[in-house]
Amino acid sequence: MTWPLHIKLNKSNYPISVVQRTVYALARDLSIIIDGDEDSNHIVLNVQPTIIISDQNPNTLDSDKAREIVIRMLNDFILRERVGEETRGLREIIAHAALKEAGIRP
Amino acid sequence: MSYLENIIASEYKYRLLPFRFIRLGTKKTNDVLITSETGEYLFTTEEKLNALINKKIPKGSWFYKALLARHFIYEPEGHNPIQEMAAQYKSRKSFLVGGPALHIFVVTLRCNHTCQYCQVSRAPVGGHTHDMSEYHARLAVDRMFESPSPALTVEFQGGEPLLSFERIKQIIEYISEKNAAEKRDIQYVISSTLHHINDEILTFSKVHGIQFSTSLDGPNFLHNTNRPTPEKNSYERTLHGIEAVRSELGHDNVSALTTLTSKSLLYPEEIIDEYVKIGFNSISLRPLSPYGFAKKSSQRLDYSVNEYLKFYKRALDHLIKINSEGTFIAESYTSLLLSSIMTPFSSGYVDLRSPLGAGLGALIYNYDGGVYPSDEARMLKEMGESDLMLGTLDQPLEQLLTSVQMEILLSSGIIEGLPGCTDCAYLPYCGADPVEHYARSGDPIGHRSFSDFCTRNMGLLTHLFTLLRDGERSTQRVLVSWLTRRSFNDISSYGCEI
Repeated sequence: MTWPLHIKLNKSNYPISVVQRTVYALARDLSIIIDGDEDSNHIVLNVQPTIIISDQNPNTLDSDKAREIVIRMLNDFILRERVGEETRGLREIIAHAALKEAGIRP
Repeated sequence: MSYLENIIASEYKYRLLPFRFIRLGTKKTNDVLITSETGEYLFTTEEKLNALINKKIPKGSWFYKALLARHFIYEPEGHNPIQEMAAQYKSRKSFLVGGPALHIFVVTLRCNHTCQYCQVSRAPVGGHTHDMSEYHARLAVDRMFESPSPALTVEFQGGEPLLSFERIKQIIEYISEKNAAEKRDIQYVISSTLHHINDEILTFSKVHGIQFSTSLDGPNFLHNTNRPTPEKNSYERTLHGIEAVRSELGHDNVSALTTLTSKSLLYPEEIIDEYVKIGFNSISLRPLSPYGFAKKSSQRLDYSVNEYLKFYKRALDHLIKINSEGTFIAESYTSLLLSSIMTPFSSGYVDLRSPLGAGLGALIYNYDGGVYPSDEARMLKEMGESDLMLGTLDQPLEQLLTSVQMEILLSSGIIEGLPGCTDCAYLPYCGADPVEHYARSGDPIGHRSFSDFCTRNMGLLTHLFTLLRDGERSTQRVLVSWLTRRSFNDISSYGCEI
């Protein structure tokens, strides 16, 4: 597979928040443009390797490997989203209880 | 899972507590590290991670019990974990209570060294235009006592602070006078080359319990290259100073730090062996910072984060070998990270705090009356960027800590809310450094994918977790000995569940 790489995603499987976090996390190695109409059910990721960061660390990622990395990262962020949904509010409760115990009124 | 276990799992659903995960990238099956909100951790497989989130972990299994005990899951009809987790969280964030505890007095910029990587942008030895005045010194002490912290560390820096020893004396005497009523626990440290140490300084230091911190970059050839003086004898004079302090104040009253240039990266074993030879029991392998002359000399001195990590791993191997052969010498930053990983307590280290340590944990009083949230922010001012100056010494502490600069730092200094950090499994052990991000990229938040601070800490933490999971028993014993400050032989064994 050659560059640029295009990955088509179903919005109902991959919410935009998951896609954006994936793009952010991979920014060092991959330059990704998110494309898609509001009316469409799909998002297309246009993926390119980043320009060489330094002479000592050339970006030698091939497009097959890049596809694998993108899909894995997307799936990881789906899992994180699920954990986040189920535990929504709990972090704040823990922090609130901790501050209260320390005598600090939040 | 058997058919019966499947039924039980589906009928009895535990609930998730907040946690994060990361793939360590080692190609082992248990390559996923999960960390709880309070910093507890487990290694697991991709399959078990999916099963955990899909509520398919069997109740009686070892993994289920570990998840429950370490606050990854809870049972709705069972014990409420929130109070326990709140207590752990409070411990981890205990540095927030008490206000700034570290107060750095920059008494002069004068120095006789011409270190290539100098972060300070030093001034020549002659003249006093870059010395702290008596007026500013008294104001700085007044500001310090406005911090509610019951324990205060007073650190003197420069340039070479011993060139302004009279000012140091004045400050300590004024602190002693005020502390008669304040009754704080006060520690003094002087960060010095030790080239100007003399009997008067040692006698005064003995009376006031002053400790010394110096720079030792490695063996003679390396130290003298990095830290040249006109007489070309920096190494010899440093050793002489170390010996003088030890003989008058005690062996452990002087510590040393090394600053790594690109040349240093070629000699990890030699640097460590030098510290062992001189009799130090700790070493700090800190990389160059993007400040002062270091930034101007970056073409010659600088190296990539990956090169630093390669050096660090080689150095750590050598340190572990030496320790397992019976010589105790710990790497300081590693010890701090281990403390965060293996205990619920905060290491207290300013750069590994969230909310950030700059300003909230430490304050810097510059020779010219400026007040800064960190040493690095002060160094930026010497480079012509005074954006992060909180104010001046004649302003009360409350005003300094509610300044616009402090607000900007706070808004970019809580990693629980920063992009990239919020999802990172290493969040419980890491911190915010908006000053470094501002220095490198002009933006105090920065972008995690391009952040040297992030890459460095992730690299170090990944390596440490890999050692905890896969390291030989002797390696794990060494790491525990650093955490507990006990000798290798006193640590019987340490097991890490997988």
